Amino acid sequence: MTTCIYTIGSVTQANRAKRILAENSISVKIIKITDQSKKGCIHGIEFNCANKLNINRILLRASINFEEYQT
Amino acid sequence: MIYLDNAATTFPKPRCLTTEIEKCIKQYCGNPGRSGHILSLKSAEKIYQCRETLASFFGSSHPENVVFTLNTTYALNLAIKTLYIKNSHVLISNMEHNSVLRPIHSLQKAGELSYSVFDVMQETENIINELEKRRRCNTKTLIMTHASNICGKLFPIKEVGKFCRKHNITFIVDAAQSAGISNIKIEEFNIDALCVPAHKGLYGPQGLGFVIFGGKTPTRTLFEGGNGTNSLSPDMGTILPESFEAGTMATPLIAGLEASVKWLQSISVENINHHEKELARKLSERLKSLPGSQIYGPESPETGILLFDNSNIPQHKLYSELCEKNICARNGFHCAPLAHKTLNTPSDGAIRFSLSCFNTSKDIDETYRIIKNIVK
Repeated sequence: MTTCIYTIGSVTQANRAKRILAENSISVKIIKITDQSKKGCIHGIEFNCANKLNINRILLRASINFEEYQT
Repeated sequence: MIYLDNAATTFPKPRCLTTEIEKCIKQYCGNPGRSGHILSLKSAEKIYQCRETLASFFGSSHPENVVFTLNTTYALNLAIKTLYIKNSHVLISNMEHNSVLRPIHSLQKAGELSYSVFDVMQETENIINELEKRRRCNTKTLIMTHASNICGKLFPIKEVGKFCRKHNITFIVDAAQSAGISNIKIEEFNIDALCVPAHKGLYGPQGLGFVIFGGKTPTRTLFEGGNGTNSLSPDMGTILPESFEAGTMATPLIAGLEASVKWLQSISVENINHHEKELARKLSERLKSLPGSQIYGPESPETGILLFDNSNIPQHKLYSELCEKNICARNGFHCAPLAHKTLNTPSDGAIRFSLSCFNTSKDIDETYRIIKNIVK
């Protein structure tokens, strides 16, 4: 499984994303981005890249802002 | 001991509260939103669960709009000071607690706004008519309590919410005495900020309160500092909820509150209100039968709060005797001089009895017996 990471504005929004995705049968893991050199503290979700398109659609519909995190 | 001071804080608390607080402290209490390890993430998840529970309980579809504070006073200060518009006019009711009156008075003194007081102790139609008359072209905010903290009267927030929506007025509600005994629906009632304590009708811990923001998002912060988000920026931002929650959260208290609210839901708000009202009605009828007694507020109790005075004995003397006999009530002005003035209570205030779901008919019988012996 290839994993992808999206950064999300806050830990609350990350939990909100996790809950909404779970309601759509998509499992993600909340992580804190360990490299803080760009924005400092920031959280995100880690997931199977195969779900990327579905996740994009669901998060956009829920007005949750996200950015792809490049490791 | 008979505890009838539940409007100050409910006592006792449900066992699930202490169980959950202890579980949190012993098992997973990291600093939420700060670190990437399991304890920090688990704490953040628990706090989010509580936001979901509270949002659902109060009819909001936005858990992220739940902002935790120290108590209702901080919640009201946060709502008022982040939502008011400079140089605007504010309406407040004549039954407000100092937690509304003082912030508004302070903002007026600073030249930030002006305010008027409207009479909420009248029929709903007359309240709305008075609001229409008092509304100015720059009236931008209306703040009112949902239930009086001194006499327990419930006020028509749904109808006032409609008035506010019609005129695009920000509607802030103090639910310090109604949360947990009346069904409040933020979205349905057009509430822009609902301010709630954890430790009263929700049977949660002291040191915790919250605001649930509705239609309007605050455009400025009240406190700034660390919040675990975008920390390289000196700017706090205005993103709900983190921008309004500076510093470490009270994770154990929040975990406890969630347990308390779930417990309360299992009993139901309607059952609790019915129980408290019935006991208040019984106490009210008995006290009224004593010569010289007066009950202030609604003819028949609307919640479990009663305001009492007896002209045959100075109020403070009666109160001292009640304390000696371990009847726990509260006397004086209850931090609400404006409301006392509205009800025209004596110059030294009155005695408030406030019930919870843990009080029994026996408590009422015993309280009445003791008061009867004191005032005879």
